[in-house]
Amino acid sequence: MSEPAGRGILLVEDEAVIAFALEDMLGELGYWVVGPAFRLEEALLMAEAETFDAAILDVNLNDQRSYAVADELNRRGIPFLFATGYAEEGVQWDGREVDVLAKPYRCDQIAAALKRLLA
Amino acid sequence: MLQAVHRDDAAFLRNGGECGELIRARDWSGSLGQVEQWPGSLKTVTALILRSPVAMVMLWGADGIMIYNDAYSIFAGSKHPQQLGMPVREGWPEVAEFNDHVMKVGLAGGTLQFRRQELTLYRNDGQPEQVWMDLDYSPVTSDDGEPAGVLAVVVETTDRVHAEERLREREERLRFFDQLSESLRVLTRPDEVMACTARLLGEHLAASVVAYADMGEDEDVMNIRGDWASDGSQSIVGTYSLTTFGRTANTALRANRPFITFDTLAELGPDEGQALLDLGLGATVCMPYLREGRLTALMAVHQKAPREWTNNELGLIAEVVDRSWAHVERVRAEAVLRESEQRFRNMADNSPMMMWVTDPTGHCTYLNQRWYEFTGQQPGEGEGLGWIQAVHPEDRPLAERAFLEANADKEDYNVEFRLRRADGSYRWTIDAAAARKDADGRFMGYVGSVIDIDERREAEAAIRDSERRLRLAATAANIGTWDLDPVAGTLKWDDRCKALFGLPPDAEITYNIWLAGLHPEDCEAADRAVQDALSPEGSGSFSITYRTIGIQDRQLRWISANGRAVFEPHGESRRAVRFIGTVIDITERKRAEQHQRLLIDELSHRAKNLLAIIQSVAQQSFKGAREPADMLRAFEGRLGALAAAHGILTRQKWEAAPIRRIICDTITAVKADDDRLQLDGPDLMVPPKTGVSLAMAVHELVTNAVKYGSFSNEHGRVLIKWRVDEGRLKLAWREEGGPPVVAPERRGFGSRMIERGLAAELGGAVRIDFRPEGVVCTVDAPMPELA
Repeated sequence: MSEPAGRGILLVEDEAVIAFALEDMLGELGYWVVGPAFRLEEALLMAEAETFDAAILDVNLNDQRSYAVADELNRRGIPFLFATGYAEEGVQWDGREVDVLAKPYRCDQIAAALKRLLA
Repeated sequence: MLQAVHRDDAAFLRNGGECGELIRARDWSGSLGQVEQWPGSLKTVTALILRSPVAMVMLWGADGIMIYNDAYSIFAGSKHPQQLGMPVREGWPEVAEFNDHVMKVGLAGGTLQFRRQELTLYRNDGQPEQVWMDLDYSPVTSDDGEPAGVLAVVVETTDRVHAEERLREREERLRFFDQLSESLRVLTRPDEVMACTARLLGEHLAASVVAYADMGEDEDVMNIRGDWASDGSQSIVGTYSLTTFGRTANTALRANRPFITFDTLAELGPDEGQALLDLGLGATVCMPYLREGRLTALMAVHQKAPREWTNNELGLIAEVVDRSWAHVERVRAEAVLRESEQRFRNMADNSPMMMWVTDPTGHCTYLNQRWYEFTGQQPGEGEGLGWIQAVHPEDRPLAERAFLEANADKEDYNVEFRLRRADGSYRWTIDAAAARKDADGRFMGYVGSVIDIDERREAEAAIRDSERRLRLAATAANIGTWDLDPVAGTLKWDDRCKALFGLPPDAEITYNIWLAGLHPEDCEAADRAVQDALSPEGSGSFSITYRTIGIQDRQLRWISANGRAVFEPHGESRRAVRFIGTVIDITERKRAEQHQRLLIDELSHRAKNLLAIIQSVAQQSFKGAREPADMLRAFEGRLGALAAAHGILTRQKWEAAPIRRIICDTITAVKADDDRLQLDGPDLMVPPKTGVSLAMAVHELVTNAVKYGSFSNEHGRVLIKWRVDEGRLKLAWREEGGPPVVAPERRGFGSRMIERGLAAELGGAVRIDFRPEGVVCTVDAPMPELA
């Protein structure tokens, strides 16, 4: 648990109850959370301005795609992964290869994915 | 004077014709003396004779000196004029005896009469001649009253006798033929006809043998099939070679001439004649019968001894033979006809189809067994015009008219009508008739057949039905058809097919037009599929889906095309000669499929999202140091709220969430009696996701109210008011009459869901006030817009 310590994770999730659970989960894993951003505009602002080490992006934000956020993160060279209830082909971001975490996810899946992301 | 007297003395000769002049010119000195000196009685009778048109001769004196008239001179033939003045026994030496008798009787004063006296005279240059005469002899007295001569009146009756003879012969012949015809009439077999003929002819002619023979194919083998032999004659039935009958017989018979002998041996000599004589042919009349140029039969009358066949006999034989051949031919033809008639009836009666025959007058003379079985008519009932009774009354006029008109025209015809079956039901039949013509082309009536075509009609009707169904189905299913002739390069489309390419019914179609109508992305694949289907190596089948862009209407359609190529051998390989198939507009199906895929994707997403929510709710519900039962109850309550919200949204097709319903249902799921709940606000709709968040927030509030707030005692109330004010949604939850409120030490799931979750969802401010008199929760957020 020492490794994630001090690492900040941007959380983008439009479903509040899920965001809160993830927030709790990340806290238990030793990360600190930036956000959660519930809306696209909010997420974009945070992606541009905030300081963090990685991000978890929900693909669908109130029927909008979070690809613009992904673009920004990509531009800044911040690693991220997508979390989505859609099937994997539902992710149509044309940037680089990115891990997709399928909802619903378990705590250990989040831990492993973030570890890989930050390695 | 003397001269005058003299002249007067010969006056009796005047006007005495040629014979009178001859008498005057003749020198009578050696016999009767000078004419002038003849006794008066002689002169008187001579004058009488010379003036008579009847042939007369006077036989004067004991010698019977002949004095006759012109009429007699004709009778005397070439014996005249020498006979004039000759003694009668010298003038007619051939009948001298007869005349001797005449002279004796006459000079004795007697008369003689002969009727139909037959004499053989040689009056024509010595040729014998059979003659018949009526003769009247009477004495002529001299001047002294004594008989001095005999006057003969001669009437030749030869012609009459001949005529009578001919008449008699003819009568005899007619009688014979009557007898023959009568005898043959009842006979039906050629051999009977021949045997009867032979017997009657033989008896009639008093012949020895009458035989008849068939000739073999080689025209030489002669099979004497039968004969009649008189008493004392031998039958000659057997097989012979015509060659053995000699050259004369062969030549005559093969040339279709009768072979006749009167005296075989004398006429043909022993070389040829002996063989015939050995068979009993002393005299023969052998009649050939040629059919189509070939000697096929013989009939012969034989006599053991030589016989002078009379012309009458020869004629009779020829006629009898002709008649019997004709009769045999007719009997044969009748037998053939009878047999063919019998064969026809056998065939017709065993035929599975009904058959009939009519005569030239249109009367039905025959209907086969099948007819009577089918119609149940009594045998014979259908004859005449009885058959019409079995025809359906409605069809009778038509059937009858067709039949009568055809009879008038003598043409083949056919007509369809319903025919009554034995069981009373009617069946459609086709009646087809062929005109019968005899060898001369004369119309003899009809032979016809009647076939039950109901099954065919039913089958035709079924085919028509199925075609109509197919057409209807094709129309209903919007199936278009196309037909490509790869050899000619022509393409045919029906109207529906054209419509699917956005073309009017009268549009011209070619393969390139088809290609041009395809979506650019599908063009190449479609073209390749056609080429593959037409390839001699391929299976010939064609089944693809492509998009078209309407050539005129520019509309996009999805088409499913199916087809099959028809091949025929071509050299070593084969080639497609026809390529035919269908097109169906599957645009709707495609849209539905896409829509369905979207729906499934969406459903999957929602389900996963819901699971993620439930997981998150669970994660947060089962946290902290509370009693597990409490945690489970809390979790179940939250799941219930979620479920209620989803139920409402499903009823609303996930389009919008009615605020009142969300709040009301969420609260009643926890607290059934709602008389302490007051809702006050307009019917507003919020997006589904907002509705779920609202439900979860309200659930946390009502749960808290039931546990600690105004629903925890007997008279507390909850007032919920909402309104839209200048585009903002303002909602207030206010509790009254509950026990005094103590703010919780720690904010839990509920507070987070309400203050952060709902606020985030709404993009506005949500506050909870734990006032001592009651919890107050306020929402101030932009009015959420529906998608």
